Amino acid sequence: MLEVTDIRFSYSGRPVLNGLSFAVATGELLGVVGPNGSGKTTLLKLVTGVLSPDAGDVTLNGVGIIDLRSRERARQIAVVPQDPQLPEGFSVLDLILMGRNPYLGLFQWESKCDLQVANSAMEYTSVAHLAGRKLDELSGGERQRVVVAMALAQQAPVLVLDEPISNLDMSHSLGIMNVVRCVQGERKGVSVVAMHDLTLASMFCDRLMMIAGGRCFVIGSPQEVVTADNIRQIYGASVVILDHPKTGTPVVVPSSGPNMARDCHQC
Amino acid sequence: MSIDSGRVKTVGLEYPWHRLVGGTAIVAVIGILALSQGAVEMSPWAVLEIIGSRIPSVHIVQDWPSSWETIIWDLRFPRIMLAGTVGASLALSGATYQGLFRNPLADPFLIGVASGAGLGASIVLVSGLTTEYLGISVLPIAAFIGAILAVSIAYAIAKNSEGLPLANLLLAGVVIAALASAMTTLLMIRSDPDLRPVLSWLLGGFSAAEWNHTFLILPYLLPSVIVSIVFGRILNVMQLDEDYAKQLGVSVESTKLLLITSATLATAAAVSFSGLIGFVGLISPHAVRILWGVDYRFLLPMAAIVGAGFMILADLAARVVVSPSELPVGIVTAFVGAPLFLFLLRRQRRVQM
Repeated sequence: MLEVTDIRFSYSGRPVLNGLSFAVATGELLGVVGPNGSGKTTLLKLVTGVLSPDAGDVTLNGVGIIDLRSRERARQIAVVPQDPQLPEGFSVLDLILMGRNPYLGLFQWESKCDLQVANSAMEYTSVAHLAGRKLDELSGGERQRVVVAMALAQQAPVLVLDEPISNLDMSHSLGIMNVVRCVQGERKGVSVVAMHDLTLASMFCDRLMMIAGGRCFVIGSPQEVVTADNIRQIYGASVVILDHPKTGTPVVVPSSGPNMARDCHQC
Repeated sequence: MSIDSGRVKTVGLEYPWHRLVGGTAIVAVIGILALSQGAVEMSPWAVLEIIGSRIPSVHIVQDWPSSWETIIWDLRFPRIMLAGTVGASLALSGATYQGLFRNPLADPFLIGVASGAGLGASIVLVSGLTTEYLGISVLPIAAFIGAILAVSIAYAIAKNSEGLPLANLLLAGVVIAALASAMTTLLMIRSDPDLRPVLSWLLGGFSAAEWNHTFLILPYLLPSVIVSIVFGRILNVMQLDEDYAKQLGVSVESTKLLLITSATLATAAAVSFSGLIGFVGLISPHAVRILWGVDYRFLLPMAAIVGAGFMILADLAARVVVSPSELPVGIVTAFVGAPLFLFLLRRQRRVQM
């Protein structure tokens, strides 16, 4: 269980998070949604221990994330950063094997066993055929699947993803979300994913947390969080909520934007 | 491009030892060729015999003038050893900095080593201090101290409470280098009109090489050699950005400090005896990267081997091209290195297309 208690953080005096609390159970997928600049990325950096909070705690099964040594933390928490820069010249397999770093000592190199872990991670995200490809030759969808494979190779119980599908087309988006759900469900992992697409978030996440201004505005089931009223308040957009014919989850359809004048033909 | 996932090679699981062994053998051949060439020409075979005759329990009938032994053992061999050691040091430091700064244009002189060493050397040369201290002249000691001081000051300026931002280190290094160069120039124009000693030191060379120079450099090269063996894999992970490397369990700050320290020691020791020889530290790692890939576990040691071979060849050219006079070796490395580098770059582009 991942617990965040009354966490606060400011960048050089400008408060970004003002007391935020939530918990994610094992096997659960929590979606973090909110407008640009609402503090999603900062929250994820605090959860993964890259930043230290000004106040409050992040604990995993009762142990403070900040107290863990970096290698130990990397065995507990794997991260898919937002739009990572991948180094030129390395192959896909090279990169995925870097996910094994937390298990390797200073004098150790990857073993056949690590290669097996890397191979099965590549199978999961269907990038095995790209193993020998150079990272700078990948398409956007391939890059993202490779980065997710690297996080899976880390074999950490907690998986944190920062907008993993923002730049992907429909089929790749569904593919990534399916893999995350499937793998984390299988190994009873804790997952936190920040995303923008409320419809997809509702379909794949067990619970959603909508944040705004560094605070938790509402947390609960997709039906409780994704309502026309909440979206008007937080995003300032007027939408219509439909029911998904198969899953029954909320589907967000814009009705009109805040300033969408009908007679604006010339723009 | 291979598609079969089971047969994709990675350096970690299939280390290309044969290339390191082959590279070392080629450097040895270059070394023997360089030993045989010069004002007195010998056959490479005679060189081998002269060296072999020094090995205990090997008996070779002497059929060469005894002056040849002096030329080999006292003049050419120490010179070639120094050139090789300096080349390896500069290439290893260059490769380390390129990896650390994730910048292919980084070279060992990036954060002020060269200008610091230059200032230290100029102070000694201009003030006319020629005294020896513990058997070696004060010139290399002053250069070494200057180099270490320059990097330490840049480091102290760049460091803040959260760690060492590399962009700050780069900027601080550039500023310190500019300041030290300005002081060097000021010293030169305010001093005796004969600037040739300072200028020739700044251009670099191995004409004053002695055996003990190599032995004095080696201890400072040792940390870099250990780092190149142990930290290659970590340096690979650090090619992702710093936050990402941290999330993969790398202790980024301590690794940075270790790499900067080892590379600075090796560079400072190398330049204190050889002067400022450009280009080797920049292009040797690049050549390895273009020819054999980017994995630092292989790139670091191979860059050292390539650097050693390249420097021995450059020094050979420096002393035979305009014989009996000599060219500054830094001019040779630039003349040979620039076209070679352009050729490799073009070749790489063709492979990609």
